[in-house]
Amino acid sequence: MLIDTKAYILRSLLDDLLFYVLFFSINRQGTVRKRVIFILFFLPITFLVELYSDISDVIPILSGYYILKVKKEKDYLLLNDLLFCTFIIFCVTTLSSTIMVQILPHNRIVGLTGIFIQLFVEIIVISVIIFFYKKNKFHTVAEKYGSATIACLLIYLLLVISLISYAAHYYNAYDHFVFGIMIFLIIQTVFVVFLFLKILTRQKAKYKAQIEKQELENLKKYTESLEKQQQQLSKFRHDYKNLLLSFKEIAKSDYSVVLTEQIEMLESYSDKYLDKGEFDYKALYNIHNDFIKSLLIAKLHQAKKLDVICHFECQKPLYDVMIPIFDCVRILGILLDNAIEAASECDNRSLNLMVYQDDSQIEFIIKNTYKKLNISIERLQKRGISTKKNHSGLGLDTIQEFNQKYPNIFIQYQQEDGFFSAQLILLK
Amino acid sequence: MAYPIILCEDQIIQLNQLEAIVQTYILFHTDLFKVEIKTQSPIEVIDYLEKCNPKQGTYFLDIDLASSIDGIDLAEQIRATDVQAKIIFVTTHDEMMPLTLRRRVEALGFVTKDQPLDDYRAEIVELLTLAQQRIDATRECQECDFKFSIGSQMFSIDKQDIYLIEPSSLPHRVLLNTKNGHYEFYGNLRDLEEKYPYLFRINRNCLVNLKNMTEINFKSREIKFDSELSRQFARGKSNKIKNLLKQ
Repeated sequence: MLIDTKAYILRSLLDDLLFYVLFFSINRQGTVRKRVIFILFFLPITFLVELYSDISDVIPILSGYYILKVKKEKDYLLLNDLLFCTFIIFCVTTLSSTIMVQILPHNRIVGLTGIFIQLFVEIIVISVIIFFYKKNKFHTVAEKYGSATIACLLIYLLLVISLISYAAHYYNAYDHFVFGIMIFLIIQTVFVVFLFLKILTRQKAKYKAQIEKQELENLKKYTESLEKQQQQLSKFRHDYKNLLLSFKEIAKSDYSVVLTEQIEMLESYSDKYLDKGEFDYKALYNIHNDFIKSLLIAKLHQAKKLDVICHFECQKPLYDVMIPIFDCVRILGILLDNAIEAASECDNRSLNLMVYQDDSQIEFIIKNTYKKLNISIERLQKRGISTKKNHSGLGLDTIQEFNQKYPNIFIQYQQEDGFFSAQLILLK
Repeated sequence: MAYPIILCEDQIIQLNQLEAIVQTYILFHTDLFKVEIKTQSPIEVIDYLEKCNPKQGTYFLDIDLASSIDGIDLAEQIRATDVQAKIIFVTTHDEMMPLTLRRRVEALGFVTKDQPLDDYRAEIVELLTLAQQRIDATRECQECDFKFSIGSQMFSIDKQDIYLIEPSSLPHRVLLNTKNGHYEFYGNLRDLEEKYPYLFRINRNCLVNLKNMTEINFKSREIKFDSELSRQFARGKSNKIKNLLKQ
């Protein structure tokens, strides 16, 4: 198929113009002035270069990118749009050429009419693309996922197809080859889309993990500030109550009935507001080890759910323990689970926890009420022995194993006045 | 000689109230106690400790003392000079740390201030009675406790509660079984046998307190302490055990 030179030049010019039409209809970046400069200068330049060389496609991409983007910033969205438009124009010209080759008789010079038919096809296809692009709000999608990876994929796609078409032109086999290029284009596009989707899911997962981490971080900060407020509040509560007590005593010793009554009214009124909250363990503030802290929070909550009244003391800040932390958490977990289970079975449900530290040791005391049972502590330590049927045992044998493993652990059990207490001592 | 009572509370009104309750108790119940010092400042208590070196005192302390040292620090200093001190904390409910204070300074008891006056008084009286009982008990029997320590903590177990002692599976440690506890600490049977003559060695690996056994079978050579706990004794020990049980 041969093309009339004038017609060929006209087609090239209009193809270039179509690029700008497509680009400006999907991208609204840059000031009007910049956009006018872009089209006025680079349309002719592209057109001129195209007549003598095959690398003309690069010009609108680079120039558009550097003119329209904000200075000193990377703008992948803009780059992606430019690449995308180039790609679409390429596809459209290839498509229209394929159609022309099929419908026009061979060995005839294609004149202006032929070119106009081809351009007509191109314009229709591009209009359809623009229509769907706008209708499906493809722009927001592009904005959301515009990244370096997508730009790389598009560049790769463009490079490959330009190379193929260059080769086809070089061997003067374009007309025979145009169908092959079509198929190759489709395969490449499918491949790139597939890659794109893969990357997208990975990106999404990464994004989600990042958000979750951030959320956790925020929660931690929030907890810290709550703890601080809690401490201040409890200090205030203490001072306030002390003051009230003193007032009451003065009023009583002066035999001032009215004043006493009024103070008592104030007392009962403020008691309502200074009442301890649902989850008030200011001692948790002193636990600086995240693993132990979250274990304690979880277990205190669990106990609360089972209506066990909890009391927790920790006077000195706890940072680290002398055995590997996971083993420590496991031992404490077993002891706390036992304590909560035992306490929840009896009428007087109570659980007391204490963390004690001095120069030579750290101690955890877990003290709970329990229903009287007739199994000695010695037997409870054996594997699989439990206070109940169908129960896997108290895990005291596991604790015994840890006791063997670390020479600085001592574990004591005691029963007294309806309380069972387990004491874990870690020597420094 | 009367045993000293020491009161330390930063709020003068509450201090006076506390003193009134204690004085009334002494007036009607016992002349064994005497209020030696009442003060708002812990420093004064420390001066008193240095000057008079009191023994077996009973101390009522508030925790928040509006001073550089709080009631807990003060209690530790008291414990250091007066080993058998009976320490009672008087404080608001919020500050209460019973387990920590028992462990750190072996506090005898706790009274919460923010409760009706009658209950408050009743609790103080109860603790004073307890303090008196404890003081009497230590006078009678200084040496009958079984003592051992782990790190910084001293354990003191009543002789009457002890069942048996045997070696632990860990080297240099022994296991102690008592009526209501199970302990492990560093030690060996030979030293313990020497130190506590009331413990009898029934075999190479077991010291028992024969007073607490519930059942003995000379045929199977089994000695029982409660429904779960039993040990075999050595063949040669039968006669000796029989003799000891006759005593």
